[in-house]
Order: sequence, then C-alpha cells, then structure tokens
Amino acid sequence: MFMYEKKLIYPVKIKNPNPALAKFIISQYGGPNGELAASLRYLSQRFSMPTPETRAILNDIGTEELSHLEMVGAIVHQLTRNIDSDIVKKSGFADYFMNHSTGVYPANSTGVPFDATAIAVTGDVVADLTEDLAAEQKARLVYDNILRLADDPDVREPIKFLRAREVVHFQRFGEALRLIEDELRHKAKGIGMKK
Amino acid sequence: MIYRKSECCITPDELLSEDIKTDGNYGERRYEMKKDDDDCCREMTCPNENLSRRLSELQFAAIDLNLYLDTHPCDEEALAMFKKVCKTLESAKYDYVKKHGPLKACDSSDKMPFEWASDEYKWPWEK
Repeated sequence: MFMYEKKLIYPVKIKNPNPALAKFIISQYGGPNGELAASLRYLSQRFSMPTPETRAILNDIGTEELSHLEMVGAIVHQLTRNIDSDIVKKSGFADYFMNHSTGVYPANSTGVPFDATAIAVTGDVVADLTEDLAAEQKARLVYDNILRLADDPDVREPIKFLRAREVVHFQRFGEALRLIEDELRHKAKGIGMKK
Repeated sequence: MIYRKSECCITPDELLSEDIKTDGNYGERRYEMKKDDDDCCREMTCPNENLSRRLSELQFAAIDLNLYLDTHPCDEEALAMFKKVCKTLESAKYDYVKKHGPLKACDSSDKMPFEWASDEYKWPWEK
C-alpha cells in the first residue's frame, strides 16, 4: 500500500521564480521520459514479474519514482510563484499558463498531455526489464538537457540528485536482468525441460 | 556517515551532488557506516537544519540500501548495515517529529486543529 511521509526525498528550495525553466522542466513531470511515466511503468510491470528480486526491485524503484515526481512538481511549483503577466508573456510560459495558470499539470515541454503510450507493460520479464534500462537512460539524458539549460544552483542541485538516481536505477535493472538471464540459462540446461 | 564506493570514500554531500558518469557497467556499491557520529542529534542539541538534513541522509541511505538488497538479497554486510541505518532512522524520525511536526498522519498530536492538515507545518513542496 502507499503511505505518505511529509518530506521531500531531496530538498527543493528555489529562491528565484523562473517560468521559462518551469516550461521545460515540466517534461519530467508528465513527459514520456518523466517520473510519472517511470512510476506508472514500474508499478504496473511489477505484477507480472516472476522472481523475488524482480518483484522487489520493480516495486521499490517504482515507489522511489513517485517521490521524484513529487520533487519535479515542487520545482515547477516554486519556479512559478510570485510572477506577473509581464513575466509570463516574456518567458514563453503563456501557452501553458492559458490552461493551467500556475498549476502543475502532467504534460511535456511542448504541452502534450501525459500519454501512457510512452510506457510498455508486456508481461515478459526480459522485454520489460530491457525497456526499463532504456527508460532510465532516457530520463538521465533529459536531466542532462535540463542541466544544459538551467543556471540557477537552487534548480541544479535537485536535478543533479534526480539524474544520479536514474544512473543507480539503471544499474539495479541491469543486475535484475542479469539475474533473470542466469536463471533462464540455468533452466535451459535442465534435464527433461519442456520446449 | 560515509559511503564507500570501491576504494574511495564519498560523503553524503558528495554522493548527492556528484556528477556520476555513466559507464554502462553494473558495478556494485558498498556502504560503510562511520562509527558513532550519530549520537549528535539524539539529545536534540542540533539546530533545526541539521535534524532535517540528518533525516534526509538516513532516509536516503535506507532507500539506496533497500534497492541494493533487492538485487543482492544474500549480502550479509549490506543487510547488517541496512538494519543499523533503519534503527538510526527511526530515532532520527522521532527527534524530527518533535521539532518539525508530523511525518506521517499518525504522528499528529491530540491538539486541534488536526496537526497533519494544519498550516502550522508547511507541506514539503512549499519553500
């Protein structure tokens, strides 16, 4: 089940509003390689995982991704406090603002709402874990892109944390996939194995 | 608390802000607890910021060790460390809640208005 603890997994304390940044960081909230996609993907895939390690890792990484989703939401929220229409117009934030004001809506940086076709749940452990490896790399590269465009250290610090976590998740999924492959190879050598 | 990554030690600060390069290898990370640096906050002598930071560090260590143990369920050393972190985390949570209000709804006191929902303690997405 899911309980909530009233603390961000990593602090977000942004002093300077900047809706121009919010406009592209929202992509890690509701975009195809963002935290909503990640948490939904892993928490859905966990049901069809065949081994204790794979069930546990999908469950736990999926849970952590929800805490990352919260962080990204907090970043966007804090970047859009205390702004006026002038700033909205000049920052390119007006398109998003039109339908969402300074709310936090799951969409990507071009305004496309969150779409579950960004994720796959095949029910096949090798396919699912391989997708997860790719997903972590895609998330990592989007954080790289955010770091290329964001100068504010208050924004950079939480983003660097999130990026580092994607790398660790990639390692964990790699281990899970290797364990599965070892198991499949082991079974293939068994006597009397059915085709 | 120090995390040991292969031969070099990194502090939680470094761990949280370092630019980790992807090298594609599924290397293992081992953790080591530095001894008894953790009595600092037990008597509530630390300033607020340290309580919060300490909780974050311990929480993070627990989560990261949890993920490691998921794919290395027979790593005795990691499991022992995980148990130690969890224990320290529980007492850090207790200290934190006394100063900063509820972490979980059940931490709410019997004072009204309902502490969990009140604005006395901000929700964590606010600065």
